[in-house]
Amino acid sequence: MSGEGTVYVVDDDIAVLESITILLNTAGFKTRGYTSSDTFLEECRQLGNACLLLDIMMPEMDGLELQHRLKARSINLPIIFMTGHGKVKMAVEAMKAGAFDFLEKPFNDVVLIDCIRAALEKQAEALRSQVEIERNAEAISQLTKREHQVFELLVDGNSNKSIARKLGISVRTTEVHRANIMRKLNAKSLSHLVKTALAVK
Amino acid sequence: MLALVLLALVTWIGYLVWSDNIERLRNDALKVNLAGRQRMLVERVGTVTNALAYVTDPAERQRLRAQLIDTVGQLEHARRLLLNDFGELSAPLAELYFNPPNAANGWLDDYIESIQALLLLPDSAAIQLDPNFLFIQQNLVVMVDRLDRVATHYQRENEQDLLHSIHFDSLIRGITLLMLLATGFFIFRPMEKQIAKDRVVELRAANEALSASQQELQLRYDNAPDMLLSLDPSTQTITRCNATAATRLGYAKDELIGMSRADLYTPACRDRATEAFENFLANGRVDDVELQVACKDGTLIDVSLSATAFRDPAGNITYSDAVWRDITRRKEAEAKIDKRTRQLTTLYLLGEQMLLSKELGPLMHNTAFCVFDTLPVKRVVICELCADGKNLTIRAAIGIPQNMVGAQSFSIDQRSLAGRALVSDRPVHLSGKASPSWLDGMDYLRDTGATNGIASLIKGSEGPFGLIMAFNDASNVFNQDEVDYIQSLSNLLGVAADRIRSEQRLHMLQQDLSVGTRDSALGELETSLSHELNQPLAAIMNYGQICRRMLAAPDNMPAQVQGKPVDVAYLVDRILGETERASDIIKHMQEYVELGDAYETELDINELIIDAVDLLKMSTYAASVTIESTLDSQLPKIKADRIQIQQLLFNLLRRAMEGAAKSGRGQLKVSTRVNDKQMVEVIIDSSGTNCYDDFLEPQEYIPFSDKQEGIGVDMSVCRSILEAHGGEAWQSSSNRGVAIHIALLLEGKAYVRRGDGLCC
Repeated sequence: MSGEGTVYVVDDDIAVLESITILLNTAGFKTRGYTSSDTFLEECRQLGNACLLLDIMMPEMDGLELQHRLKARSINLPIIFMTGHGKVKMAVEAMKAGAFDFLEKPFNDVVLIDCIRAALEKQAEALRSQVEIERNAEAISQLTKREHQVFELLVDGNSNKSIARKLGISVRTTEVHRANIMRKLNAKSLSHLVKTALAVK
Repeated sequence: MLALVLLALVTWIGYLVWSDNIERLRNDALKVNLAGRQRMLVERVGTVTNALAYVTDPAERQRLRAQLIDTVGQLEHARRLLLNDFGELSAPLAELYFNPPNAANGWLDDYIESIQALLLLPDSAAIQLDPNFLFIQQNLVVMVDRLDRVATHYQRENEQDLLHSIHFDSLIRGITLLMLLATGFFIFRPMEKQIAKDRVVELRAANEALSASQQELQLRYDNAPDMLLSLDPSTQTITRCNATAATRLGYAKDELIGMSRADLYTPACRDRATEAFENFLANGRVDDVELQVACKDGTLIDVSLSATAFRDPAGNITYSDAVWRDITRRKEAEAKIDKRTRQLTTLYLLGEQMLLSKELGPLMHNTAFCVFDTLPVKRVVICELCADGKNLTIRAAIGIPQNMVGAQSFSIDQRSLAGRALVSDRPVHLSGKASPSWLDGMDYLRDTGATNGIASLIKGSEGPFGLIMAFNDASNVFNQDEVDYIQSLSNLLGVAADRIRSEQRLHMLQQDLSVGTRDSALGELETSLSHELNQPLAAIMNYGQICRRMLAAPDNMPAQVQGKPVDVAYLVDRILGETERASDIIKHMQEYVELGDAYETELDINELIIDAVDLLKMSTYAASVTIESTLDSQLPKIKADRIQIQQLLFNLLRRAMEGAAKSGRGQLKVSTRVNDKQMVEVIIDSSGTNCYDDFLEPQEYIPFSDKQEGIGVDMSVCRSILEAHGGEAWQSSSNRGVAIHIALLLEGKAYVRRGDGLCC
């Protein structure tokens, strides 16, 4: 129903874990449940479009700790925290560390599902842009040495004339290089080009 | 000297001549005498021989013969004397005695021989016929005549010699006189002259010495360190004074002389001066009377007056010598010491207040008064720095309108007195001239005439606290002592502010302590409770929602658990199971509160009591209650929950203290011991009564008490703690009032924990 997204659920309380996974199944999400942070960490290599529903208070490794570990491994996953007791301090800490949302147990199914959808959409968007950036980076690396020089100067805001002067080539040649760059990077305008450059950097 | 020798020589010669002359005169006299005697003896011979011729009586005759023999003997003796003593006789004498003069025997010898021959005759009357008798009778007249002549001769010679001698004597006297005159003239006069000359020299030297010493005396008189004046007691005017007096008083000497004594004294001390003068008239002296005199230019000098009287033989005072010792410096020094003493006393008193005061406001006010009292200032302002660090609030002030206190705050300018003082460790001293903007932010001082001011930072442990500022007019510039003094005051105030603030904070903390601990304990409980309860509740809710979804859309049923499809019956089972779990949690919670946890730590009850007493000493009641403690140093440690026992003891002690304070006697004694049952017993004995009723007979437990000011953890909780530890409590009456006994087991209560506890 909601497409490709997978929802990972981590909660030490088996009843809660079970009830959430069944609920999400009925709502059409693919789910995977874990009873501890450790077991989740072991399996979370290739996540794709996914989000994480995470209980804060757990024995051994708690939710916040898991969040930090994921960050340390550069695993970008929207995290929705759950807690039995909405302590403000914890919520603030979690949000500061980049949590997507914070739900207080017990929660309404509609709230939960909306939240998960939003998280998955965000993740999908992030993945898309990640792909685009990678493609652009690839395209930039494919530029010739001279084209690369022209590209750098263009992004810095130089006009064709000044680029020509700086590189010791004619304006005409510069214009040719510029056209090639635009084509290779699939850029429709100069501002698009600059945006691409910034995203890659 | 020569004159003296001459004089001596002349005198000697004169003496020789004169003594020779005297000798001759004596000889002459002797010769006259001898001649006269011889004449008398010759006459007697004539008489006696004549008588012999006529007297017949043999006895008479015998007497006459003896008389004749004696006379002849005398005659013989006289002749011998004459011849032997005078040797050669002068020619006339020789002629008289010897005729012829060169005959061997003189006629006197013949005469004597005749008499002797007559005497040789036998005694008879028939001598008239004897030749010798006849010779004697015949020559008698001749003999007498001759001897008369001899005597006359001698007499004459003697007279001549005498005359001669007299002349000579006169001559000698004259010469002597002359000599004396000469001596006097030539010796004594020069000598006298010399002596006179010497005396003149001596006199002159003495005069010079005298005048030198007089000059010195005058110099000393004039340059004496003290003012010296002489006074005529009858007119009370100055008759003499030294230069010091004139210089010091600013008058010329001439002006001063003739002035009245009274005119010099300041009006303030004139009565005292008059009294001193009367004293002087009565006793002849006064010593060290402290007076004040005015100089010509109006400057006042403090003097110490001492005076001595000089009297005439009748005992009246002729004049007085007065000494004015300038004691202005001493007075100044005394005044300085006085001021210093006052400052120190103030500091001391203020320091005491600062130690004891509970509130800052009155303390600041007193400090302001102290500054005003002990320093020559017109205005004092004490400000407190606001929390924003930019504004100052006036807390106490003197010399400015009182409505400025508290209400007025002003912003600090970096160039102003206040602004500079806030960033300086030392008091800052500024005047209007030095810095035009020195009064910035203190506009209320602008028109008061303050021309210079000093500001000292009151520094608390947490940074600048405020300022003490004092202002005066130009005539009084602050000296180092005063600057130091202000700094001491601000330091003191800083310390006091710190103390009062921390005390207030402590008091608040202490007030909040029980509420706080209760809240935090409950908070802790609530967190875990809600977490534990929310787990099953969340599960129940989820299951319920799944049910609803399934019932709403029965066809759309992808839900599975581990590959098995899920149906509503399964879900309802789960719901029931989770509900039971929630109910269990609540049951466990009650057990937890009743039983507490296992006690692994060993607890020193004495330590807990000492901590609790320390805490209580900062409470509101501390001032009115004396806490005494007798703790058994051998007390064994017990196994119990530290926090709970601490709460139990603290709250009971606090009750006892409140009770003691309210009783008015303020006695509290806490002691520990091991009792007969081998339990650790704590006895809290206080003068308060009815303190523990709700502890000994607990009412219903109401955790959320409305009594925010804190009766502490409810007594029923204390009771639960005691029971959970298997302790006992009872009350007994004591000398002080009531003693409560708490007995605790050494090993705590047996570990009882039902189920898995709360951490699922």
